[in-house]
Amino acid sequence: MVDDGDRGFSDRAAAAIEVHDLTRLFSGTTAVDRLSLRVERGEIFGFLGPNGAGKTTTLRMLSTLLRPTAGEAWVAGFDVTREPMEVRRRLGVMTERPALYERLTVDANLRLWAEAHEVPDADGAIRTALEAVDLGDRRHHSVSSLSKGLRQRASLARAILHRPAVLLLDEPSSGLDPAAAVQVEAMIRELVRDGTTVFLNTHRLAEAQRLCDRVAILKTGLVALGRPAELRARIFGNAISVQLADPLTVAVTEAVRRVPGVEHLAAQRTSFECRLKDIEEGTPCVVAAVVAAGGRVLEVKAAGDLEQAYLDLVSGDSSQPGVQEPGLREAA
Amino acid sequence: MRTTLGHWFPPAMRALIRKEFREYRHHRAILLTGLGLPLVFMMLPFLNLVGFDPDAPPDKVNLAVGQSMFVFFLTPAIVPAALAAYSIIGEKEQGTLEAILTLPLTDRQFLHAKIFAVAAPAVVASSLVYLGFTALSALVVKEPLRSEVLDPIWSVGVLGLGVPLALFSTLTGLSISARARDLRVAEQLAGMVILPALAPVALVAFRVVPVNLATWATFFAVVMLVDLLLLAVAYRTFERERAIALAA
Repeated sequence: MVDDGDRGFSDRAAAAIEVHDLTRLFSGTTAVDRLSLRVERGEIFGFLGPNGAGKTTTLRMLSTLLRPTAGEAWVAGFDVTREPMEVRRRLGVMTERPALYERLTVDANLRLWAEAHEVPDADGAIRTALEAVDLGDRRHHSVSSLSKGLRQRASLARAILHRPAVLLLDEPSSGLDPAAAVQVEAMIRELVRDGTTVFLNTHRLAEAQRLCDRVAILKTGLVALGRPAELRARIFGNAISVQLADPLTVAVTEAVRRVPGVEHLAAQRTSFECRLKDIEEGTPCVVAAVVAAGGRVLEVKAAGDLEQAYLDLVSGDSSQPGVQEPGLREAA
Repeated sequence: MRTTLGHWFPPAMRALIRKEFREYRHHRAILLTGLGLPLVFMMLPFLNLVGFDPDAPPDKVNLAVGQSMFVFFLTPAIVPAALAAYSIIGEKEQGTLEAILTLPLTDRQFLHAKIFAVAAPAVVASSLVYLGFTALSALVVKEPLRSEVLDPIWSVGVLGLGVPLALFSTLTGLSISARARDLRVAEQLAGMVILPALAPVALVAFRVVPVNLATWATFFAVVMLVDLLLLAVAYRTFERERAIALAA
């Protein structure tokens, strides 16, 4: 094994996480069906899907809690079935529930992890991890005295304190107020800058869109995989949405239609959506045409967002204009 | 190279054992069972002997001492049953089982840590209680009761059988805890299951079977054999998948 920084990746590790045809059955019911994907080192990878899509089952297989029925998975270059101890040594896992010992102090909870992972300076590591989640002053407080949000932060501190190569986060901002959720996002970005790979299981699409380099959408099998913007483009094509200050006039509509590269225009009372041949070249021309025709532009954005793309993908409805077939079961 | 301690008790196991001990200190019911019960078990037989008529016939003296000694076989059986019943259910109730199983521990190391954390304090507590009882008896109890209490054959039996009885109780309690969904049910079941193990000891305490080295050696061998079988069953049946499924 070679040391990758001090993250302990195997020299076989081509990626932080690699999954080939991973399948898990429960009493004949397929929870995860031939999932294949690859998460690069230092990436924030979002894992999205409706309830029962197999997200938690996948997370449990990656964290060696469940054995795959078929297929293979490697974490930091180690096989989750054949080398589970190597995987556990390199993983940080934050479960959806904070999973802390309520009778113990925050320090005692983190100390268990520090000692189990043989962290050389346990005291220092606990202090650093708690400071990272802004919980340094609660170190000697009993967990039972903490609010849900603070427990969530303590749980994140526990997951990161041994500086794992790969961090599996199950709904890390669940139950947090918006300010705390933003803080957690900042922490995740900081961890990635520090060399950690983050596998993020989330329902929060806005969070995935802001935070993740790539996302996978799961519905037992892999429905789509790509960068959030790519997925959005797959569903909505090169479409933009323009919001005007005043009702849309015929003059504005005609002006936009005459812009080269405009392929389709759908008008509403004070806004319109249009599909462009080239979104980067076409957008300024559309805005200029609107302004020249006397329109006042309030906002221009890419049509649709990840949430809409997600809903279309998991409901199997991909009938919007400009849709390209998402890469079913494709690896990155 | 790992030291012997590191080989038998790798860091993750030691960390888990220390966590268990920390939890005991903050758990009122466990403190009551682990400390309060042994103290009661020490005082009851002592008071029984103090109040006993020293001029009673020798067979009654022997029976009185035997009954008192029986309590010291109860301690290593009852204390671990309560701790073991809590051991895995406690993790499930707090939602910590899944998280703890992501630590670098094999299933066996996890089981060994749990067994040690339950059995070791029970053996220590029951031994200390017995030694306290003999010290008090040596000072306060009158002859011929005192000589009978201080007969080394009782020390061999109580201290020698403490470990296998504690292991028996721990292993049955852990098996129940791993499968049960409710702490009270687990405690009651664990308490009931250990009672048959005390039947042979009761035969000795009540002088149906003679108190001698051969008797203790036979009991020790039989209980250890049962313990090994229970351990083998625990190895085969404890699977993190099943434990997590039951915890869900």
